Amino acid sequence: MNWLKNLLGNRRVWAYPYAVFMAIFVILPLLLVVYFSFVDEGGFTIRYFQKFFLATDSINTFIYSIGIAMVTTLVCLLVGYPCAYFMANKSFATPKVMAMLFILPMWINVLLRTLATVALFDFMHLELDEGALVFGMVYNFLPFMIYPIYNTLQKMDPSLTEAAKDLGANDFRVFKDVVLPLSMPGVYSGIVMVFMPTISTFAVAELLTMNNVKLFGTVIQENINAGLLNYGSALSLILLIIIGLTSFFGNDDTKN
Amino acid sequence: MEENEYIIQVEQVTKAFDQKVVLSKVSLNIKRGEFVTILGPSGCGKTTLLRMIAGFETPTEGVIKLEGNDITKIPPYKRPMNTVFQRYALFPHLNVYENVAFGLQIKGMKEKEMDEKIVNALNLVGLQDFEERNINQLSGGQQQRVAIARAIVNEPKVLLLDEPLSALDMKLRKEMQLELMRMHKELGITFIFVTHDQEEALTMSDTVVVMNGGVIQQMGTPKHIYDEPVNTFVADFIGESNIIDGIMLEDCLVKFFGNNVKCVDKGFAKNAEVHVVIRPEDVKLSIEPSDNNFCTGIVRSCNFKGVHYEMYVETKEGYMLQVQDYHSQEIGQEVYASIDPFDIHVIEK
Repeated sequence: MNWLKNLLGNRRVWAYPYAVFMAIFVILPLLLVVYFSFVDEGGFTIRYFQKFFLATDSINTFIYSIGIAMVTTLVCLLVGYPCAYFMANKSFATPKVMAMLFILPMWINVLLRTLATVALFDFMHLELDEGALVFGMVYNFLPFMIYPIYNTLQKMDPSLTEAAKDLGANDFRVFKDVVLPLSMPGVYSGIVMVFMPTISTFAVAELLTMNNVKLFGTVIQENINAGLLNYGSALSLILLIIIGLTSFFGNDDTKN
Repeated sequence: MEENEYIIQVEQVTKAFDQKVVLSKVSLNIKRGEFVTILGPSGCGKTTLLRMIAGFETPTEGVIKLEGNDITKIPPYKRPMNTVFQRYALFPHLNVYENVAFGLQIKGMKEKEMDEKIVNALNLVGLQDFEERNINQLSGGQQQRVAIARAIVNEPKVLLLDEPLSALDMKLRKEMQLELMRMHKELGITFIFVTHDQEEALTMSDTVVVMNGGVIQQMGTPKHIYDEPVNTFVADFIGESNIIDGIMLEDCLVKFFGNNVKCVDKGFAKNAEVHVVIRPEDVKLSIEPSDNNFCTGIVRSCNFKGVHYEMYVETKEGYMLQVQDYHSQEIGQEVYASIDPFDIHVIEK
């Protein structure tokens, strides 16, 4: 039994199940995506990338998706920052309020929430277009913007705002010169946490616009469903690179 | 003209947080150019008083005046005062120059004039050529100096200092005490300094305000407060004291430890019960009895403290008398204690 004791006593062992899970369901599929993007029946090729860059259609969808993701992120930021700022005021941030804002939305599945949004828009006779799409995505991802901003604001030393006031700054200058610059790390992580999932979203878009608006995620799904595994993989890889770049952007700025 | 002698007047100020009174009916006049220290144990309300002068808190009752004008409800950014915060509160996203420039930029000062003032302020605190440094590259002492420069560069009428030296080590603290006194002299502005360190207060200030339990206990020059404490709290808090129960037999004669001892205090009722305050350094010990001994006892401990020895002498009544002397006594030795009449201080009970 000693070997078992040794095995369980070693903390690293406890991470193995997760490592195995990651290897099978994350790393392996990623490697397959890379493989199928460059290799088909005829061996190594870059023709699927060429196909993407030559097809105005898919490039347009790509740019459109980035646009939608940017608009969603911007709306999240504009709605989320004031909310986080308000909550960072200690008297409002009771555990109950925090639970309501961050845990309660998680009680309901994303798809159910999205379907409910569709029903709501129908009921109010609103058109299911880009507006509905942005609304639905903001609704889904807003907590991911609020939380990191709230976190940095809440950790900020209150004597910094007092020092600014003491040096003659009115409330607006205190915000512009001290609070806002010091909360930028939270803003960057909020942007990354909203932008990354919104750019690759597809199910939400399909439901909210009755498939009227096509996002890049949908294009990938359609291609793979249609058996065009290599082209779908190449598109996925392009998307992955874009997402990877945004997360580097976030990392760089949180370091400062 | 009489009004103008005082730069800050605190009149009957009371402050309560959720029914809990932290300051009650505090009145305080501060003269122009004075170095005033507000001294007291933690929780005595001294920081709250400073924060109300700065404008971060509003009094529940009472008025605060600056040069005779009511400023009780004026927000901090409109007050011609600056604060040096306890944990410095330097802006981490700005470098040394930008931190010091913060107040001047808000005033919209011209670049050239600002440059000159910042260089002067940094010179005054001894941080030449630190302009481009980041805040997190500085030591605690250097951050402290930046915080002072950031405040004084605005040429405030009053500089408020909230326990600014408490985070520094002993040696650096002594050094900064002297530096602050030098700056006070050079700048000629009023300093209001909050501390819980009595030694710091006695060293630096023109006037010491001793607070406890939200009330001002005593106000005066360091020497006055040390020599003539008005009550046992002040006697105990400022320096070390033996506080002994006694009876005032008549003017200039007090009875304690069963002996009638000459003193210089007058004006008490006949046979009034009093506290007799005796500073440890004023007691003289001898192994030979003499006429003016106020008690005898046995030496219970004797420790070397650098300059002097600190001894505890147990009297017949069981009181542990603290004594400081350059000469040590054997432990277990019977000793006779004497004191000069003017070193005895009698306080009403």
